[in-house]
Amino acid sequence: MTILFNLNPLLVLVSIPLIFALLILLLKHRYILFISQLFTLLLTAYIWHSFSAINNNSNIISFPWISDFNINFSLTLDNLSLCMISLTTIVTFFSSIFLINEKNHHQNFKTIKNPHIYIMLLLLCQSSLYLTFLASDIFLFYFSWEITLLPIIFLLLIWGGEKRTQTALKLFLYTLCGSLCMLFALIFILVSYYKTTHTISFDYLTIKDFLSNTSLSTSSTNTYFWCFLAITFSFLIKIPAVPFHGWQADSYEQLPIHGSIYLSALLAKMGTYGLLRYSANLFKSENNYNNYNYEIFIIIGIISIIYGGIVALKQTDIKKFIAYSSISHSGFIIVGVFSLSNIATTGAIYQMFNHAIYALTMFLIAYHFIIHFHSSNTSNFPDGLASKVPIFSIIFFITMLSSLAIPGTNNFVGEFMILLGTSSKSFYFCALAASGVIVSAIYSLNFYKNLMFASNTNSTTSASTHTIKDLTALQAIFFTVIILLIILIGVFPNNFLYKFNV
Amino acid sequence: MTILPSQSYPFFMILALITLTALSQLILIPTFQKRSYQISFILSLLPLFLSALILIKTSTFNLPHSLITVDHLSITSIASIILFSILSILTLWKNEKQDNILPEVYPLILFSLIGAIFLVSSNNLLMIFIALETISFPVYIMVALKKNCKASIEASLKYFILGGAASATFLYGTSLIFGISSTLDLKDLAHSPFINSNLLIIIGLILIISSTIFKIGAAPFQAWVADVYQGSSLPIVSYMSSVIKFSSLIVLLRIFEVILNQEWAKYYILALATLSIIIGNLLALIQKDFKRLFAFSSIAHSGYILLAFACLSILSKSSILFYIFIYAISSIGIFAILTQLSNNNYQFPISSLRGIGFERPFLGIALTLFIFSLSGIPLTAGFIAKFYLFSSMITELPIAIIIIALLFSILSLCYYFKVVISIYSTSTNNLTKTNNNNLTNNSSYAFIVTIISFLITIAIGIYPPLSSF
Repeated sequence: MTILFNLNPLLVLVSIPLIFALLILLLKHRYILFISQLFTLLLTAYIWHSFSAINNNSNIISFPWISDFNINFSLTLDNLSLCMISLTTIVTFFSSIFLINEKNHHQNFKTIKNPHIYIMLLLLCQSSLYLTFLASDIFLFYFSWEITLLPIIFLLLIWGGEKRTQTALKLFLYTLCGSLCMLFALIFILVSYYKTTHTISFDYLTIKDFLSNTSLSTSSTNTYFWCFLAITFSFLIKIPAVPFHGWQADSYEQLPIHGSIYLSALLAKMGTYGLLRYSANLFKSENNYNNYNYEIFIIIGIISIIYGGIVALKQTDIKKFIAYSSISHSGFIIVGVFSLSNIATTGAIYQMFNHAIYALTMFLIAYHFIIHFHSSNTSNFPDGLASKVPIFSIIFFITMLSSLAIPGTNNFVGEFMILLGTSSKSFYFCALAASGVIVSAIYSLNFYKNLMFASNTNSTTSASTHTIKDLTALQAIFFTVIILLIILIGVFPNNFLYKFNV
Repeated sequence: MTILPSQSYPFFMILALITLTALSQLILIPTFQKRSYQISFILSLLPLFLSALILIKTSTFNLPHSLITVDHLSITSIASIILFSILSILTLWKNEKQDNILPEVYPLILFSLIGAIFLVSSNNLLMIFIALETISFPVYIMVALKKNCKASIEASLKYFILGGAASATFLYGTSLIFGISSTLDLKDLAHSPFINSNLLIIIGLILIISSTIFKIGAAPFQAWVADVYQGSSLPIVSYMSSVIKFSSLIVLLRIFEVILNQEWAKYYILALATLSIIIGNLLALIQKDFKRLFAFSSIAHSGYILLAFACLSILSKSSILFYIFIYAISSIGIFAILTQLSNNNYQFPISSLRGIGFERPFLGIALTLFIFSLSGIPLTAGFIAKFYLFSSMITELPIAIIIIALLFSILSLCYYFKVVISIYSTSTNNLTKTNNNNLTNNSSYAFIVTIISFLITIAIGIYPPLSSF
């Protein structure tokens, strides 16, 4: 019984989705998903509430896993992890409530086959996300980082759209290409740690100390620089940043709705989380700032901001629009991470949170269109939607405002902090990144105008056979909660910031 | 005449048991023609299960001249080999009739197994030679056992001729070594003063290594692999790619212990390994037939293992063992699934896998998992094996070779995932559907094999028992 009371909340958090994944296989009832989300939400609220940055025992849990290699199953909760797990919980909670409401939630509008396996995959994905964000053992991190992808791949392969196989190949090759590079780099670092100290350790902090000590000598810095590049490369693919974004738009389009939400709101955050924790922190020491050429990554971030925005301007498919605007938003996070100032880093964490909520809301909005028009291509939508669905269009508009970082919305706070932090490093970078705010205003408002107000001259008659209904009361409440979250974070940032402050 | 030490009794009991049941089958099969398949099946599994029990009692011992040296490595290997054989025989059941294979295939497997057991428990070159022949001859026949099939007879002939050449090479190398150092014992050879300097000994060793690498199936001695895999029945391929590969690698391990510090050996094996990785992966990429794809990918896997040989240490020794064990389990699982999917066990185009993931969900997921295991993705044992293997050698190797290994393992993802994609694409041809109907009732043992390999792959992937290797 004492064990029951001494359960570590982190361990419970990781294992709740796993337990419910088993349960759903046995009971085959989709409300189990809802119950599991309720549990994780309550538990996350408890963890959020009881968290304090001072080390206490509930923040760390560790027990041996592969003892021959001194690999531990160790979870550590710090500010960054706290932010990531609460983000995971919120996104999974809202997307699962949506699953409960909708009976017909397949992208191709057939009734979904094997819903319990679908739900099981979602729960497994959730659990491995928690693991990824909490892991303080490098092996455990890589392990969970990889297995998070597997449920998504299966979601895509089994429940995906028409072009699912080609898309899956792209997604798989892109991400695993990065992961293999990361694996080799991590193995290299760990083995060189073993060669110098003759002890095996996979602990994050130990390796961090090791790296900051050995990078004093220039000869080894060079090889570690390649490791750094390989690891960062892997994260940039996952986010994705611009030259590596080939997999993204198609995957968002082909995945079933929950897969898209998980992939954009959560899996992409694994990339930014990795940038913060590994690229920017693991290799960080006073004397190698200049060696590691962080400027290159700021430039990649800026290119992502502007390129993503310009491409988003041209999109007529709503899911692809979300994909490219996500690239633009994630560019800010990359800039924030590599600016290496405290305020920009906090802003980057904040922005991760904001983008996750943005992606969640946008996909749910896209989903509302899709179930009514059976297509995500906006050129098939009828004219003047705003007058037909007033409540829905208001919610859509507020989301768009938050996307373009109007003061009072969450994105404003994040982007402002990132720009402030960057300006202390370089004025030009700051100016270039700030131009992204303008681009985002153009593409967001333009997209909204075309979709909701414009008279679509090319709209075919077939589209008019489908009519759109406004939100039901339940859905309206549901969206209002998310909108409230957006505004609350935007108006009272301090209530959230003090937890994120690193 | 020395008397056998008492520790060796369990070991010889295993051998006697397997030999006797194999011989008795040869008598029983013609006697009970109607029930010959059932009798051989039971008489093959029974001694293997008994040997597995006896193996628990087996302890290490040594015979003079290292004719038979049973150490911990041998016991682990014998246990693995017996496990692989049991799984292969279970896969074979009911498929042999369907493929028109004679019931003699069961005693042949047992005879080959005896060779494998000798092979992993000897340090004497002559003994190794005899054991290699004992393994190979039954396999030459097993490949050709299908009645009236030209492809399998061709494959068998090819394998036989090349294998014969490899054996001759081995014997020639042995004679060179014996001529110079007048010892056949590998341990004595390691302390021999000639080993570092004498050119003939080095040539002899190179010949021996090459011949063993032929059995493993690595470049440039890989010409037989694809044809033989294609020409043989699936369960027999499963036997070949597990037992024969495993035991040949153990021999290579023993030979390499002798020449651990030789520079030439390192470079020779590095060259072969790199060549295998490149050739195997590139050729696998263009294959349309799953069995050929698997054959070439197995060449690539041999390449990764050989890389670890190039920087042999205690750590890499156990990592090699672990890797090949996981590889064998995955391949057994894959072939067990394939036998359930098709009643043509010879041609297996990748497109025939289409739609399996929807029609037979468990088989689809299991096949995907084994393929992930081969490509080294977490949650499967293959990832742990790959991690272990690479961590044992990554700092020892030249950076160029690491980059080649990295690039080609990315390349390997392409063809592995091509298979996964066909599993989950909507089926256009009804080839598999019609096959499924015939096979639903008679593939139960292959299904059990699938489940066992599946569980092993997942369990080791999550909680790897590395210390037992």
